[in-house]
Amino acid sequence: MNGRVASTSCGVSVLRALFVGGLMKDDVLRRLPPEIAAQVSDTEQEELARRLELQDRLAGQLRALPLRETEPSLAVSLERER
Amino acid sequence: MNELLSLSLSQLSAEIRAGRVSPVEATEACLRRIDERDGVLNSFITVTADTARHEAREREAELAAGGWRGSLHGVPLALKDLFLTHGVRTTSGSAVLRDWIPDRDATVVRRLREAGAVLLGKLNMHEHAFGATSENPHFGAVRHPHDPERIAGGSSGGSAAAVADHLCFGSLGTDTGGSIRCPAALCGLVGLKPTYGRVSRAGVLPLAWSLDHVGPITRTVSDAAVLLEAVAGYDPADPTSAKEQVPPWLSRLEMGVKGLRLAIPREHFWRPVHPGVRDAVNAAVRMLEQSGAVVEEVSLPSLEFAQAAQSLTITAEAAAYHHSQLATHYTEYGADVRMRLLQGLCISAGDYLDAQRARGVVRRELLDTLRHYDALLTPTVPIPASRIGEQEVRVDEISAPPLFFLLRNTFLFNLTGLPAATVPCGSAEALPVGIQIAGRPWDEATVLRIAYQVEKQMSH
Repeated sequence: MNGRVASTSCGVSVLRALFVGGLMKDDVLRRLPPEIAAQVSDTEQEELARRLELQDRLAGQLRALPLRETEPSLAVSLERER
Repeated sequence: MNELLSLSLSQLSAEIRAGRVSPVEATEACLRRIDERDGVLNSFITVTADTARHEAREREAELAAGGWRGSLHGVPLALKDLFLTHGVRTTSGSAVLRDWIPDRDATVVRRLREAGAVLLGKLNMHEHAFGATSENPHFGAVRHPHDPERIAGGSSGGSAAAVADHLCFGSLGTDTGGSIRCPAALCGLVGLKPTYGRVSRAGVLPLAWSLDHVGPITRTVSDAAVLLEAVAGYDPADPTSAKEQVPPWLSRLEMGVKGLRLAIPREHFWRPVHPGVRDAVNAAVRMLEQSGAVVEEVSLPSLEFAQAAQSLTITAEAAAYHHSQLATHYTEYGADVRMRLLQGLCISAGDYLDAQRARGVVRRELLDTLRHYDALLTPTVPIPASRIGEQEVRVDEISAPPLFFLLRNTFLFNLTGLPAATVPCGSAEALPVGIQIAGRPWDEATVLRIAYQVEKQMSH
């Protein structure tokens, strides 16, 4: 029993190290340009993963918008130039 | 404090024109005040005392020869430190640009000089304008004039602190999510973000180019009108500049609000709001009603998407601008700004475009509403100035970092490009509170007219 708890705790620690706020640390770095990813500290990776989870949720809200709502900004600006 | 410094910009202008105050006298009074007070406020990054004195003497000589350039002739002003100034370092509140000296003026700086203004120096700000507290890791935090333990707001925090504490007679700031209106409201000032395209941004270091605006921070509504008239108008050097006429805003302030239709949005702006802020803004709204305005509640359901659209847009655009500099100067960025830029670099093209689609939806809804109403009214900032270093603020049972509250009510008008102003309307916890007035595109006249009425009511 004790052994099982110990291995579960260990597993949680490993998982926690791999996943931060639902995102894998490597995923966070892969999303960054390599020249910048190389400079990101461990602490920053954790904070960034937490923030990206929230940011991705915000982006998800917007994906629900119907496509017809595309903003015709070019047409509007061309009209204004006329 | 020298009595001269208690004059508004417009009053000083009249005194200078009448020959009762000289530009040199006004400039020396400001420089002395900076010496006395800026050790506490930390509002200036660079004071250009020698060139200010030189400019003041030149303006004085012009007056003696019968010349008068207009309402800003000989008036001492100061600029947020992201407007390019020829021969004067322009840091953007950053370590990266700590020693950068531009070889040209921003268009608005040139226009201020042509209008006769005397420039006292460059003002502290949130690093790269990417934040709302002006707790700057490189130049120190800007402190609130009423309570130095509190923030002056941001990102144009130095502008607000310097104007509110009479170190200068007015300032120009920039506003990408509320960076003019937030510090102006927290410091008891008037701040105006004009319509997108109204004021040139050529020679202004950008934060997010589809959201950035330039506008005045002043002690009175008349002063805001004077400054706006001086800098507004088409500029071929700025591709987003509009060929709209610049109306005489100052002469239209006293038209009153009788018959104007004003809308109060039900959603978003009123919760969370500090009870003292809510009371002050409600009282100002009632006074506008008593002055003949018709006030009605409206619903703006698309506000549900607005926060996401603003957040993704500002973060992605800022990251695009800073990308190469962040790669080469990574450790020179402050921790909070660097983290936001990293977030921005992770936004996909699809997500950015979705934000622009959402922006269109929100803008159309607001424009539809403004077909029936002359302006919208909201609290400018839902809380009074928070403490420097404060990590969490609790209002209406919601606990969040100050940034969550500071720009919550202002960003909508960056996203939509509509003109919006803040004007003082009372206090909460003995700190200033502002009411926000947002109008139709290009209709700064009505926004200023309503702000003027609030100002008049508050002075009675």
